[in-house]
Amino acid sequence: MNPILSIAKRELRASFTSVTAYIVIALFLLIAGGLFWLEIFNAASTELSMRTFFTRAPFFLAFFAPAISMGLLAEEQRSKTLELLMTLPVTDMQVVIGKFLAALTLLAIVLGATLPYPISLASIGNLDWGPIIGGYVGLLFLGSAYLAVGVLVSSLTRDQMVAILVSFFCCFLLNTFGELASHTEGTVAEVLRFISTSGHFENVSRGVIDTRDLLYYFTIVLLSLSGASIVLSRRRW
Amino acid sequence: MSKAETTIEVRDLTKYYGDFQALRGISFDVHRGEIVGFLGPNGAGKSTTMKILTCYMAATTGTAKVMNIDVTTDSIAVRARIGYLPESVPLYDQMVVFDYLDHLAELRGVPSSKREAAVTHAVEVCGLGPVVAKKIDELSKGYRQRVGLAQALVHSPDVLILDEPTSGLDPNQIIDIRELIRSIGKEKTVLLSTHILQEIEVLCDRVILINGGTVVADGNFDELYAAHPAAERNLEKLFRLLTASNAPTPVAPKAAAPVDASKYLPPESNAAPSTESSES
Amino acid sequence: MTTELQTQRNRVAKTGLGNGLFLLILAGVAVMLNLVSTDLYGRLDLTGDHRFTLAPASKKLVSDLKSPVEVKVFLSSELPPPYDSIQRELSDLLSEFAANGDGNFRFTIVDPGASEEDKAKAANYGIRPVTVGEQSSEALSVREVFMGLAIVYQKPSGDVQEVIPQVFPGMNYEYELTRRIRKISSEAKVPTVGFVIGDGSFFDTIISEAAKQGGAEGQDPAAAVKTQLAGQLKSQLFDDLFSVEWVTLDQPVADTIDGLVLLGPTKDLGAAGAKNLDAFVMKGKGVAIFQSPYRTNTPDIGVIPGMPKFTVPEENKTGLEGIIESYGVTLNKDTLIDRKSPQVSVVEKVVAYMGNEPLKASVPTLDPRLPLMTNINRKSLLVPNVNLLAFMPADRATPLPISSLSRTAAASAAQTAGTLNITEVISSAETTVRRNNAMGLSVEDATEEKPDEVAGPFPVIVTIEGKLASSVGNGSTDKARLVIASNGDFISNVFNRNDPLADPRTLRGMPPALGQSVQEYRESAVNFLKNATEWLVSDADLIAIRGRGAVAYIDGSRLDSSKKFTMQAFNIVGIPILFSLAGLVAWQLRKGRRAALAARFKKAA
Repeated sequence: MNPILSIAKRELRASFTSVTAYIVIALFLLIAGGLFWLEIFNAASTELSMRTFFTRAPFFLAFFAPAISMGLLAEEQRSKTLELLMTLPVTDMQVVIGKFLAALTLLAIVLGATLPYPISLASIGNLDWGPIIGGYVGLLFLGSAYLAVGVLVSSLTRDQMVAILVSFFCCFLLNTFGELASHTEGTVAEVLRFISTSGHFENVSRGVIDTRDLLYYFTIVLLSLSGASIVLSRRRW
Repeated sequence: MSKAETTIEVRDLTKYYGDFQALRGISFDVHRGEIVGFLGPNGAGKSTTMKILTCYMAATTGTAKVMNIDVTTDSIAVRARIGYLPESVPLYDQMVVFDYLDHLAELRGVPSSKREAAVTHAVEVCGLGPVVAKKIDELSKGYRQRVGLAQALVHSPDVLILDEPTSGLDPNQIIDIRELIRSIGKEKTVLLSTHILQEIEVLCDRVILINGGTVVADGNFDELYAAHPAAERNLEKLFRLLTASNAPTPVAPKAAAPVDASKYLPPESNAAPSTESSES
Repeated sequence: MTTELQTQRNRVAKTGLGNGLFLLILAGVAVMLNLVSTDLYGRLDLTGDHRFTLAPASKKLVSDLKSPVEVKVFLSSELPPPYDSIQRELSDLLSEFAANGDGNFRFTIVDPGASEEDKAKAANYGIRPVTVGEQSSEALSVREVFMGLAIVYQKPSGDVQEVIPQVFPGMNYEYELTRRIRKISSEAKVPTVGFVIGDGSFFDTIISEAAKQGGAEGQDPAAAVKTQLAGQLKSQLFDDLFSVEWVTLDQPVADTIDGLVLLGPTKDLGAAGAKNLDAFVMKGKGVAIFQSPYRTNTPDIGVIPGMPKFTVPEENKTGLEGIIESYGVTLNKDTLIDRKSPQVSVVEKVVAYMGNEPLKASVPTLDPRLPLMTNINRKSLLVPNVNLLAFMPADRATPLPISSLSRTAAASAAQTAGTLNITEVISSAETTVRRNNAMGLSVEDATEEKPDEVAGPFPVIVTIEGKLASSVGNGSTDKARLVIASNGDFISNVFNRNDPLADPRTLRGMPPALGQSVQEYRESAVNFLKNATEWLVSDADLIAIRGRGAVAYIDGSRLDSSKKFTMQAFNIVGIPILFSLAGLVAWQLRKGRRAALAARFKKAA
């Protein structure tokens, strides 16, 4: 089997062996579900969509993604398994990608666990699936960006707590660049708005998949993962 | 011995950690069917050399070849032919022993059809049968060491590099492991480092003694004792003779021996041939 | 040694440099790609109605342009949410237009904040800054921003322009742009809406009341009022995209009229009126009839001068009910009552006696006679921006019953046959019941349950489309288009100075669940009138664009509280529990596997 898949498989299996992971995921589902479902029947006439869920999701992800990514490389360094991993016939980039894919799969599974939401909604009205699909695709892309940043941060430290805190910080920063942009002017604002994840997510969650947004997420993932791979290879000197 | 195929070839290896020079030009060969003891005081450069050979690190200058493949130019091919047990045994605590070995066999390129047999073989030769279904964090120190050894040989590599393979084992286990290494050494190449001199005597065909980053002695026991009659055919004495801090070091003119290496090391790296880290 | 040290340092530096350079090049390439992609991109519209893709009608419009169209957007940059989405949505849409325009469609987006020149240009088009609130870290500040656009059609004979002074998020930009470009680029005249007067309708009342105030010397005050009112309707209701004319039905309706609106008629049409209206429908043109089966009457007793007049409810016989019936919809003479979620009305009540004189006062009261119209058919094109309708009677002292509509047997048959389509647009809430012939029902009467009541919901506004035979035996049409509402007050109230909704006493008494502002009730009513009229006079292509982007709402009629609860319970608690259970199962499986593994090696050993 491809070493990337092998590493991803091991990592994923490790996640689903841990009781902590189940608790964190169950809590995430409880909170996300509660916020969405307690609110939706309250107003006199509520839009039949998952708009409120998708509006809040980037904020949730900024918490949840670092929790997934924190241990990926930091824990390998702490337990010295990284030394072994780096002497196996596997390139540094394969290690990084394998870890990243495991985290992304975990995220996809958790997001998949919220699929009963739109199915329930479809049972009570004429649901437009387009924005729903767009929303989920958007969340996966946004999650990829957050996770890739998390992998990079995780490669820089052997302390999981440091990793999660720094990743939080980075994700929130990425999320709030858009807000910052409204306080500045000109090119700086344009650049900030472009770097911000929120604007790109909004577009996808409307139900429009745009190559510009995909390219943006792809860029973040590529740069972060390359960065992580370089950090690992620096260890060899 | 020189007739046998050369499996490890090291030439003029030097290595700096920052400003600290850990290797000062090391050269040696190891051949198939040899068990070579890698000896030296802490900080002499044993672990560093091993890390270079296993492609964990790059040398500053010099070349190293394993199975005639250069470690820098084709590192992935080298890694596929090596089994490595680092000084601190690298284990995933939450994994079941069998799964751990299976995972490493997979990463080392054992095809899936042969993997189960390979893992079973490793389990049997390392005596892991009773704990094969246990989580690694439930294991005693001896078993952990054996699991580490099992992962190094699960893919039956041409070259086995073992950094203190018997540390933490009880006498029975030590004897078992030595048996194991001896039987592997008949067909493969084993390079092992240890501080137990007696182990070298019973296990190794040859000794490479390094000190201060240079090879101070290389040969089988007869050759060594012949060259250093002062050692009186005693390995311990030979060791003292060649590695005591006031002893002359042939290749290292400006060696100011006891340097605190740790302050030059990158903080994440446990690759330190540091004076504290070795015994564990 | 030093050379080796040097080598190491160089090497570290070189790899560092190499890595840095690699990342830099990678970042550079990525930025370049991203920059290139701002102009070169593809998109996949997943929405059910492809609302983010140009409609065929819009594509055809811009590709058939004879002279260039230039759209000048004056949009301040860095707008705070929710306005921040406008920039991209507009520029995406305009790019799509441009891509289909064969060079005849150009657009610019400028931020007039930067230069006085641009500000002056914007002002020239009548685009003025609007104030938006902006939440900064500390305080809520307000800011003047530009959010308007001008469309200039560069005809050889000179420029023609259309201006949208202020766009807003959620606006159907494509519809607004397409219909304006159509208006200025085509030679065809704008559609004309005829409002019927002389039928005792709401407009008659306004015109006659205003005329009583008198006008300038030598002018016909009624004519002046009519001109002014038509102008207001044209500009404020229809953004000058339709013209408005007054129509009387005593003579055939002119061919220039594209649609008719009858808002609360109370006088008999007569045979000629009925014939003229029917002939108009048979031409395939649209008619909206807002008529209640009841009306108020102030009988002229005329015996004792100076005695206060009183008002009584009576049946409203205009002759229209017969025409509607022949088209397939019965205007039921019934009363809808909602005891479970009554609205508040201000009822005239006797509060005390002064000697023998009853002393009356207006008291806010929970009134079951005012059902909420909560069932809005979101598939209808008439309601994309209609959220809340309440049918408040215009005359508080003599509130007329709210009645229902129903299909005739013939219409049901035609609907099954597929020749006629009667669509329920707005219906009352599930909690309404229907009582027959209860014209003068008091609040007290309505509060009591009666055995002959039937449970709702009941339609109050429907549309009729398809094949219709003349009600007077005068041919037939395949393209009939009618809007029938059992009440007109909910619209006329908005224009009325004595709007009961605007009465603060009504406001105060509103149940919190319906806490939406009065503004929303009024907006919904006005939007409904706008949509209905547009539907009557526009062609199908434009209507299709109009309907896109309509959001689906949760269909209340299919949800009872137990279903709601089950859904909430499953999705909030059920999913995490199932997830944890899956974990337990996986744990058991792992245990089993480990046991099997142990057994296997035990045997082997």
